[in-house]
Amino acid sequence: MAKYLLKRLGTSIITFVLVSFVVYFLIDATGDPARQALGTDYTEEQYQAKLEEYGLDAPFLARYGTWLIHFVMGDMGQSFIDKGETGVVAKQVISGLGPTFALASISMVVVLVIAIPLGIFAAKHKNGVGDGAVVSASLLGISVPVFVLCAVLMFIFAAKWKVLPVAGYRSPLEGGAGEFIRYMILPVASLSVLNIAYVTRMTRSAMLDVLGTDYIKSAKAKGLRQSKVFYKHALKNAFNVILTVIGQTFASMLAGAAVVETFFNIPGMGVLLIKYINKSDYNMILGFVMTICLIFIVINLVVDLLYGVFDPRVRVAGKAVN
Amino acid sequence: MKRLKMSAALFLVAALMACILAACKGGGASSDSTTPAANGEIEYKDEIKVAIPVEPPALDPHTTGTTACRDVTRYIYEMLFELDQNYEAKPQLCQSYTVNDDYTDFTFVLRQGVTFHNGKEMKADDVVASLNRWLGYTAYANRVIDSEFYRIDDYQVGIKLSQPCVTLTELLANPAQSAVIMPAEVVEAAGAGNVSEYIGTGSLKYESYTPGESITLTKFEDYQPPVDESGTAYPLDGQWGDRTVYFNTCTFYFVPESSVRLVGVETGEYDMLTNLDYGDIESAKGDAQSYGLQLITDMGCNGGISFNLYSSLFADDTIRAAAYYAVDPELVSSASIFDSEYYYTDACYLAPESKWHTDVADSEYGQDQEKAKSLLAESSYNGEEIVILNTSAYPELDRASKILQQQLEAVGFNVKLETYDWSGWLNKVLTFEGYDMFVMSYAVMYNPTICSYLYSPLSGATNVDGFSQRFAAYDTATSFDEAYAAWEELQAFCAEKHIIIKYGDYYYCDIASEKVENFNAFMGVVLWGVKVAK
Repeated sequence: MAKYLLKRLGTSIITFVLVSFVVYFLIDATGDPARQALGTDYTEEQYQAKLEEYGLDAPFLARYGTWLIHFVMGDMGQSFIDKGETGVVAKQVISGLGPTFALASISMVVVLVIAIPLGIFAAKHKNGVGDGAVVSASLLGISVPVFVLCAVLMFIFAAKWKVLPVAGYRSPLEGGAGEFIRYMILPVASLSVLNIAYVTRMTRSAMLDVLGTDYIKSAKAKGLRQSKVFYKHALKNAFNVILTVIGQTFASMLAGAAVVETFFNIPGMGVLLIKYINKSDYNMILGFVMTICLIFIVINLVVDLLYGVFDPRVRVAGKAVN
Repeated sequence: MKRLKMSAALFLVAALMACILAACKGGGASSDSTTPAANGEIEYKDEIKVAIPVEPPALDPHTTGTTACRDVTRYIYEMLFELDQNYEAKPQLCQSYTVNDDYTDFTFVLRQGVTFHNGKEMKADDVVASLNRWLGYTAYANRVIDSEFYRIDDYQVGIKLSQPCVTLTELLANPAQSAVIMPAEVVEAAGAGNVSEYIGTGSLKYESYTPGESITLTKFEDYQPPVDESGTAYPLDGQWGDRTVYFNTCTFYFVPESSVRLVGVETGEYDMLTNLDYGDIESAKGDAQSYGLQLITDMGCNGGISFNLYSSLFADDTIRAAAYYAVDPELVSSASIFDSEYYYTDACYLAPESKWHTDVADSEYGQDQEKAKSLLAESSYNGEEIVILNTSAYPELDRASKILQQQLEAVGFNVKLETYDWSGWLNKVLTFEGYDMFVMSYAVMYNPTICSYLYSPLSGATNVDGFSQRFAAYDTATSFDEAYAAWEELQAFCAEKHIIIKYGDYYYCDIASEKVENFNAFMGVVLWGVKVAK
């Protein structure tokens, strides 16, 4: 198990370095913060001086290396545009992570509570009325664009019935748990629907794959209760696939909730990243994008490790290799 | 066992629903009717919430000329002069001023006892530091102000210019990229970047800022408005006068979605909103009665179609004239803004309420397709592709660009629309290459010196023969009458040479709930004097 862990960790580090190089290269190649800062009227000398001030006069590899070392040590640098406290990249990333993490985590719990039982139910009643209803509902959930869902939910619950607030975010530390939940209901619902539909379909599919295997047929032939066949044998074997889907879904919710955050005025990662892209704030964009990449890598690593926890075949295979 | 599991599941679902319903009941929108106190008097809110569309890129008015910055920082800071409703500059932080006959030597006498939010008294050193910093960042000002402000004594500041500047006080009152006064030490600490402390003399002081969400300001208890000889505060007129606020806290929420801002005011989440998208105005009018909304118009900005006079086909006078007459300003404005209540077409570059407004350009204004086709035929144009640089960041500009494309094609131009996001558009337009035209809106221009069509490098006007000497004649005028005459000649010249196609002036739609008293706007929603009933 330890060797499996080390191997996965090593792969993740290599992936991180490669991704960081590509991201740094792309952002470096497409922006010119010095020209942006100088505006329309400047001399070549002023331009060179600005490049030197920003540290952009060094060779690309030297700049990348310096940035990478600082990033790993938690120093994401300072905005070229904003010199004050609000220009500290790490601070802004952390401030955005809080609301995004809250939104994604609550949404993930809702997704798991609803989608996995639904997926199992649909697999259990394959080709039946129940299965048909679940498949149709999940197709609808995947088809409705998130921004449409945001608008519809807001119209019904905030504008028409006035039972929920229209937009905003209240930190649980400032406004209390009640206010926090009240402001989260619509954003969580908007973000969850698509992911519930997706996880339901994947759970159903994974369960059906396993239910068609010989060992499940043997279990049924042995006379085991249906619930035992489903939960003790089928679900356990389908769980790796479901775990992968859960990991991908959570990572994409952390990275891709920008539409929901913008609609409901939640100061999360997505909203802040869009803001800094609009300002062409080079260092901020780099900090946010790399943080998102790091989140994906860490989640994939955790999922890989959980394979080993939930599936003994992975642990045994690891030992056999050794 | 199965029944027990089912019961447990049902219990859990019921408990979850109960929690959600309990959460829904808590707080919520304010009641629909004003609640009188026990003695019959109306009670007012201590905190008001304003939904604005864009987060300010910085809270530094010296370096940042955007309306988003202006709309928040006008409450934190004040200037030596502020504009009244007629765009006249009147003393706000200064008591009075004197100027010599040829407008080259100014002395500003400061009000005494005015304190900053940090308790320090405002004195000449602060004014000098602030104004010289502002001068360093402001193209429209440092073009005509060729020396620095200096301290005469603790309460007097002067400036001596080598050429006249009839409009200096108006420049010092410009709300966009404004000459606000801040403590000298804040200016010094900022160095070459934005200020990191937001300390002014305004009636609201900076409290907190959550990037991506909101900015909160709180009441400055020691605010001192300008007063007359009897000690009575001048009533608020435009931005000038008594800027006292009647609430303790104001939070500006950044809500980019226009419909969300509207629903927010309707449900009481926000007390007012600024700059409703033109596509949502009809809906707002329909909801006004049932939700108790107040809609007001506010002079927003003007829209202009600029040519790339540096490196494009439009450096040719005849081709440019053909494009000018191809455009119907009324149609472009209508397609851009929709409701005629929110725009009007006018040839003059400056606001109609301004004393500088003139109608000398009217004769050259408007579409003439036959003339456009004829000019195009006689020109050297051979079907080359014309590129309109467009941005999707502002829907009204996007719509205007698309109509512009159609109108140019109708007279025979071969036109391509290139659309970018905002930062991409900015990067591209500043290269002055690879495009021929662009559509942009500009904040209200009430004075020729601050008119972007004239001084901004983006307009390219200085590339047109005869422009620079006429602009210089205005700049060096030694009286208002002389300056006005020079301006009229310059405006007529610009119209004759088709330098810009100004397609319209347009108003913003700002909305408040019916509980808001004294709701009005002047270059943005005005919170001074506003009260919001509970």
